[in-house]
Amino acid sequence: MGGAGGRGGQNAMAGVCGAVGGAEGAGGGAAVGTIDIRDLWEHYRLYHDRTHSLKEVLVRFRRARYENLWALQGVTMRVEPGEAVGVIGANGSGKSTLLKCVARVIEPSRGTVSVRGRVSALLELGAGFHPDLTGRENVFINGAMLGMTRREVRARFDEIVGFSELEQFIDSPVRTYSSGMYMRLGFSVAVHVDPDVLLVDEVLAVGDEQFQAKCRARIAAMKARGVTILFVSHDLPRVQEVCDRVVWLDRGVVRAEGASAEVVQEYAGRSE
Amino acid sequence: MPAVCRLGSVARGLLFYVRGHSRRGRASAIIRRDDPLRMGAPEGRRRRGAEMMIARLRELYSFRELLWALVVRELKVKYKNSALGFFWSLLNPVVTMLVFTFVFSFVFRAGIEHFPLFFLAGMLPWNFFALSLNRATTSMIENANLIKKVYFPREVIPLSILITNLINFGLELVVLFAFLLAWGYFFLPYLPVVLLAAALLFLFTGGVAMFLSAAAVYFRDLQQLVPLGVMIWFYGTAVIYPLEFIPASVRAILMYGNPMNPLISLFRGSLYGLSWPKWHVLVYCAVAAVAAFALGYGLFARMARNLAKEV
Repeated sequence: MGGAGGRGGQNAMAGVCGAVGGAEGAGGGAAVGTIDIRDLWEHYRLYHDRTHSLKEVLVRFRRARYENLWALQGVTMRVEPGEAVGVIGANGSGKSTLLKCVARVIEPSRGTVSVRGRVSALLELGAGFHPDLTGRENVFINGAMLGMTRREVRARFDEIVGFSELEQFIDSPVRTYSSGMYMRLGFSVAVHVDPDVLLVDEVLAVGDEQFQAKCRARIAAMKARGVTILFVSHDLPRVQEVCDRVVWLDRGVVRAEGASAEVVQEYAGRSE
Repeated sequence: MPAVCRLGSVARGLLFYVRGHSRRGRASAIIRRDDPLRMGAPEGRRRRGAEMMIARLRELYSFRELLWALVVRELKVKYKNSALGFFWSLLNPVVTMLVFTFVFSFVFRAGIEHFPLFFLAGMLPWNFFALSLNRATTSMIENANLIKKVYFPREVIPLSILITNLINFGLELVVLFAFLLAWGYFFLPYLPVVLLAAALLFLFTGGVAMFLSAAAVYFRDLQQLVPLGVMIWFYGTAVIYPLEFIPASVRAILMYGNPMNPLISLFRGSLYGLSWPKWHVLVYCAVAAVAAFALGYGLFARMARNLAKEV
C-alpha cells in the first residue's frame, strides 16, 4: 500500500511540525523540498542534581532543580527546494538541536518548523540495528525506521548492499561486523531512502578514504537530482564544497548567513 | 494533619514526573493559555483533544510497517539461536503449571478437577499481562538511542511489545485448546467470548503498559517497582486459585477492584467452566478496558512530547 507513488511512512506526516497545530499556514503553499523555520526556540533543562529516585521525591518532596538552557533563540531560516545549506558554528551553538527539530525528533518550545516532502535524516546510522540479526534483516528494520515500506526496501535491496560493499557478509549477524562495516551498511540504507529533504549531521567520516569519496559522490548526485540538503558540520572545506549557502549559528542565534565562501571565511576569522 | 500534608506533597511530587512540562509554583496540570512555552500555536487554531487523537492514530497507521518490522525483530531475536524456538515460551507456563499442580493436588488437596487445565486457562492471559507490563516499562529507556535520533510515533515501541506478546499468547492458547479438546472440554461454542476477552485484555494491558513505558523515563524507579507490583497483583488475582476460595465478603472487592479478576474469569469461565459470562461482568470488563486504554494512551501522548530530551 504505502502512500501515493509507493511512498509511505514519512511522506504521510510531512508538512506540519512544531507547536501543536500552529504551522498549517506556514508551509501550506510551499513546493516539495522546502524547509521553513520561523522564530524557532528550543530549551533543554539543565538539571542540578537530578532527582530520579523515589526516596528523594518522598523525603525531600522538592521538585528537581533545573535551569532552562536555551539552545535555540529565535532562529528563522528558509531552504528552497534543491538548495544545499550548511550550518556551522562552535560546539553548543545549537546546530544539532536545529537539525533535530527539522527531523521532528524534538518538538520546538516555540516557533514553527515546516518541511514539505519526505525527509531522510543522517543523524544516526544503523538506527534499530539489532546485533543478533543478520545484515539483511537489519536493512529491512532500518529501512522501516527511515520511513521506507518493505516493498521499497526489497526493490532497492541489491543497490543498498552493493553500495555498502558487504555482499559477502550480508547474511551474518551484525554483531560480527566491524564498526566500519556497521556504519557503511547504515549509511547505505540512509542514502537509498530517496528523500526530498536530506539532513546530514557529521556522518561523512564513514569508512576508508575510498568509501568516503563514494559517500561524497552520492550526496553530490542527490543534490544534482534536486534533493534539498541541510548539512551540519565542522568540516569547513566540505561544507564549502557541498553547500550553496551557509548559516552561522552562534549561541542559538543566526550570526551570519550568505554565500558559502563568505560565511565560512568570516567564521574562520572570527574573534571569540 | 501532618500525614495529610505529606500525602499531598507526595502526590505533587509524582505529578511532577507524570507531567511533561512542569514549572515551579503551578499546582495544576492544565496547560495555561498564556504559557510562554506554548506560544507556537495561535489561540484560535489549537486543536481539540479528540481531533489530535485522530491525527495521532492516522499517523500511527502510516507507520504500521515500522511497527510490524519491530514485532518481527522482537520475535526473531527471541527465538534466534535457540533450538527449541517458540517452545521456550511454552516452557515457563508448563513448568509453573507442574509446580502448582503438585502443590494443589498433593500438598493442599484442593480438589480442583483437571487442575492443569484450570490453571492454564488463567495463567496464559495473566502471563500476557505481566510480561507486557514488565517489558514495556523498560522499553523506552532501552531504546533511548533511537528515540533521541529518529522520528517515529513513540507508541510504536510499547505497541510492538504488546503485539509480540499477543502473538505468543495466541500460540499458547492454541496449544491449550488442543489439551482442552483432548480432555473432553468442548469449549468451541464459547470461543467468541474468548476472542472478545482477548481483545479487552489487550486494551487493558495496552493502556497500563503505555502509561508505564513513558512514565518510567521520568521516574526511573518504576523499572524496579513494576515487577514488584506485578507480583503483588498476581496474588490479588484469582489465577492459581479459584475466586470461590476467597471469603464472600472480600470477593466482591477483589472482583471489582481489580479488573484482571473479571477479565481472567471470562477466559476461565468459557474455557474451563464451559459457561456463558454474566452480562454485568462483560460490561464491567469492557468499560474498564476502554477506560484504561484511553487514559493510558492520553497520558502517554502527553509524556511522549519531551521523551527525546528526557530519556
